[in-house]
Amino acid sequence: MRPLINALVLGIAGFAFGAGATGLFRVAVLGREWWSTDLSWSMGYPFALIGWVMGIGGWKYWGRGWFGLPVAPYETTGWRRYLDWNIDHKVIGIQYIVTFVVIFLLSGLTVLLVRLELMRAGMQILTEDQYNAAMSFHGITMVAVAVAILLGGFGNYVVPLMLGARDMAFPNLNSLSYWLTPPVAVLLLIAVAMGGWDSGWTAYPPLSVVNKSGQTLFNLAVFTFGLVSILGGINFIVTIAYERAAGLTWGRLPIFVWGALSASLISFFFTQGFAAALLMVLFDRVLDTSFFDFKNEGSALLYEHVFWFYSHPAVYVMVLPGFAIILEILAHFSRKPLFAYRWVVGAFLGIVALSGVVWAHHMFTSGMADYLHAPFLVLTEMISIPTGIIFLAGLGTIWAGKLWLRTPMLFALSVLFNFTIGGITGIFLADVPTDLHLHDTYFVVAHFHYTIVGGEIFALMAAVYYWFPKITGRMYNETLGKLHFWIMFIGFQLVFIPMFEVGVQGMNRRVADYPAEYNGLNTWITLAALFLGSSFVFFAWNMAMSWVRGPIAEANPWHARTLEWQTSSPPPIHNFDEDPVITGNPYDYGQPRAAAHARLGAAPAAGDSA
Amino acid sequence: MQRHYTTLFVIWAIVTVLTLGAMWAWQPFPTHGALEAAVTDDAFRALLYLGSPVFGLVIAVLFYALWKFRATGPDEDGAYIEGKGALPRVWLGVSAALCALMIVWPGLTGLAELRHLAENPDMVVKVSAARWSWTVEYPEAGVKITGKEPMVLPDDTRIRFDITAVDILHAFWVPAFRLKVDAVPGMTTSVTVNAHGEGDAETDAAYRLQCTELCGLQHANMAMPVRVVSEDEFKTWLREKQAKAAVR
Amino acid sequence: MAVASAPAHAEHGHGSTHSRIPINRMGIWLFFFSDALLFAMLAASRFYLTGTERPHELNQALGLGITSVLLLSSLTAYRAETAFEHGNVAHGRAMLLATILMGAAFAIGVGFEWSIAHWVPSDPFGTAFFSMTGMHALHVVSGVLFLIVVYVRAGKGHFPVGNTWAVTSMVMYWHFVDVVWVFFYPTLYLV
Repeated sequence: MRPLINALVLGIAGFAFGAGATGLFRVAVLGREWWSTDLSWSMGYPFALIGWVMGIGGWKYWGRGWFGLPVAPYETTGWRRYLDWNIDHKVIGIQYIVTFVVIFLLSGLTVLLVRLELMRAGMQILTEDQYNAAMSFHGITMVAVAVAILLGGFGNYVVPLMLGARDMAFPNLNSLSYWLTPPVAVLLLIAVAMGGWDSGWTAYPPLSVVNKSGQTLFNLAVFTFGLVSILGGINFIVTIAYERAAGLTWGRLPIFVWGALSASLISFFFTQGFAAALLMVLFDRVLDTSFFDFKNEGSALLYEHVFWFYSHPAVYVMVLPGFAIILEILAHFSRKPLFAYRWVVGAFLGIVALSGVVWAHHMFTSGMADYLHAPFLVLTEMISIPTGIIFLAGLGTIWAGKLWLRTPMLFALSVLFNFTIGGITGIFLADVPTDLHLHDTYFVVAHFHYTIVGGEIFALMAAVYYWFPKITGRMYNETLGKLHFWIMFIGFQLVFIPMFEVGVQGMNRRVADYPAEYNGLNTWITLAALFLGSSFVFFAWNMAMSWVRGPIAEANPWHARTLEWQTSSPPPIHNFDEDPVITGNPYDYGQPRAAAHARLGAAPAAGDSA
Repeated sequence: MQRHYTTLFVIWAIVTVLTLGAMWAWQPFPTHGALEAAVTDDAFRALLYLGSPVFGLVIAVLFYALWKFRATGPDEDGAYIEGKGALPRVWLGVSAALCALMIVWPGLTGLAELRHLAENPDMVVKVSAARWSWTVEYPEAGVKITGKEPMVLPDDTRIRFDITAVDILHAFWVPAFRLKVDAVPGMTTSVTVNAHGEGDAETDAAYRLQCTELCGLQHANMAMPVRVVSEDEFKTWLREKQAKAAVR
Repeated sequence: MAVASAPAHAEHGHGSTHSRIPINRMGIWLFFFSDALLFAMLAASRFYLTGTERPHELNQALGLGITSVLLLSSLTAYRAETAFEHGNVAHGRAMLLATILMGAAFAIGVGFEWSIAHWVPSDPFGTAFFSMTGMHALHVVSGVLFLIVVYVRAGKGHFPVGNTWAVTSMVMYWHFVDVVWVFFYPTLYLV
């Protein structure tokens, strides 16, 4: 607990310093009162952030080295290291996973409030203001979860293991990335306590320039989160480029590594757009610039361009690691090579490239120039081609396999189902004639939940169950896992299928209230949402109980060929007792003559059933 | 293997036909209140039909694999199929062709049709959005309405709405007319609608001018009723409005 | 910056078994690339908002002056890097000091320009001018602070031949900040 207390104290001190100095300047030089919510937070927060990072251990373990001073050694055992600065990628992975699962559940509870309010027309349990705050909070926290949990959590834990590396390329930077996330959560919660902000997760100006101060906190928080994303992305790219074990050529990389690399390329290349957009809003709020002030030649459209330049690629940061995980699981649980491996890699990189030139399909109704409609329609629909290749790989892998239907496999198969619906409905939104009607309706809400929840969160659950024995060293409860899967899968369909219909019928999104005509479907959706929500009780119970007293897991319970399963569960501090040597492809199942994927030292790799 | 493929094909055909039937029967659309609705709804249907065989294929493979290719443990391996042959190439070709088809029809053709429907409007209506109400002005008649008063429009008329906002972003959308465009402060955007068929907000939620760009506190309630009436009725209404304005 | 200064000895053998220098180099280049996009967004919005307009009151002499100083400081930074690589610590420190002083002069120049500016942040040009120069000045000031740390540590003999990555990385950062200005100067003063 000590590092946390230190961090908190230094964080508050930093805030007092920044806000105090600003206040002093305002009183002494400008002759105004010392406190101005927007400005004081904007100036106090950066120092608070520095104080927090220093306090948690950034100074003790890392910063001192910058000044040529000796640094403290890291904790290597015990639960305390999870609440401390630690550079072990496995510790950091667990930190990310636990943090974001908690945020995920919290945000899920928030959306139940939203759904209860929407159960009937008229206002029942929330005011309009509270509704907007709850809806916006749900939006940004779920986006954060979706961006960070696969890459930050499982990417951190699994990628170095798959590479046969001892750690990430920049372990301290990795720890910094993680420890920048708690302030994001805290700031968003403070923003809600201050009355929230009412501009959703997209924070379009001019609304986000003129609304309540919660918006400033939102901007600071999400800017910080952008930094997390960029630093994490850089770390993965360098790690994958330089830390591969001997013999691990690009063609032998497990597909999850390729997914992590593709997502990292996007997050490091595009996140600056979001950062720039948020920064401009912040400048408009506190420095009185006029990026978006139409009275001074500002332009609201500027924000939309800059914002979507990142935020569309961001959905691939969410979903590419998800695809990669399910392909990984489909191969191991079908006991077959990953179908068309090289094509999948090409598809991933194709999506990375295309993702940067499709942003304006979010803006078909924005009033941007008409001549932009056709090119963005064409480019956006072209994304269906590489996505189709990924589907080919998924379907080709299970075909003629030996499907072992454990919980991870069920979740992985369900992604193929969900994302088919998500992908096909995406075409309706890329197609200008239909989008002009469907834009900003519940059709869009249903579509992106089918892609992000159906594609990524189901993949996340697959990953959680798949790597649970590796991470905790214990086995989860299969019955509870399957119960979780079936309730979540059925509940998910029951919630989001009707949303397509209510959207086409004419219900727009982000509304606290709606015409009574849409009562029937909305009541249904809310009841289904409660059912869907109940699945996470089984999830949380299973995770908590299995982690504490589940049966001890073997090193390789799935008899998978990839490298992370060839070491103990959980792995030792430097991952492998002997440096691994890669001698074959990761998915050569069904080929008796195939070389094992990896050997540790001189001994033949365990669990090599091929 | 041959037997597998034949069965798969049959399942695919059945699922596709069932999906097509369901999509054909599905009627989610709000009232058809403008010629534009035909374009967007036809495009919507076209995409549903084009998507059905794709959906059918995924379902068929999933279903068949779950039915025939089961195992109870990791002991036995599946067939060693690397997927290096012609299949990926064929798949790429077919999906690219399908994509190209969707881009052209209903995408670009629909877009062209909408552009064509927007040429030479019969009348212009000015719309102004503010937090959280709409103001609608008929410049030729000098009539202005606001708040919860209905916006009355003539049937069978090509109407161009010139839209702007005075404070922040809003968006213009009448579900019965389908088309949507943002109201942007400092800028005039426009959308042209060929009203077709009478309708009234009293009985039909599709006839409401709903703000669809999140605009803060009362965003959900920023809606103005819409009424489409015969041309004669519209003229009468306009005259009454003018008279009232004169008295005031 | 964080990437840049990660000293190899702090890793405690936990990280790579490979040589650190190419890894660090790739990390810092990716960081530059990423950061450059933030600047690019700001520069792009300058054109989006105001086209190529600029006020006549821009002090061209001052602009050219601070630009020259910054360019010159990149040269001294380069000299410092080379000197450390060859073990010439005294010359390296002198060159570092020159870089620091010129960097500070640049920052002061920008501050002076702000104080005499004929435009306010709410003008379209002011919006672009203050946000671009402000964001850049923030990088200059942080660069100066890092260089001061390097200067002091060099005085304690922390950077013998073969262990000069801290110097190299800071000099790379300095070049990066300089290159950004090479684009910003014409964007604000010349178009």
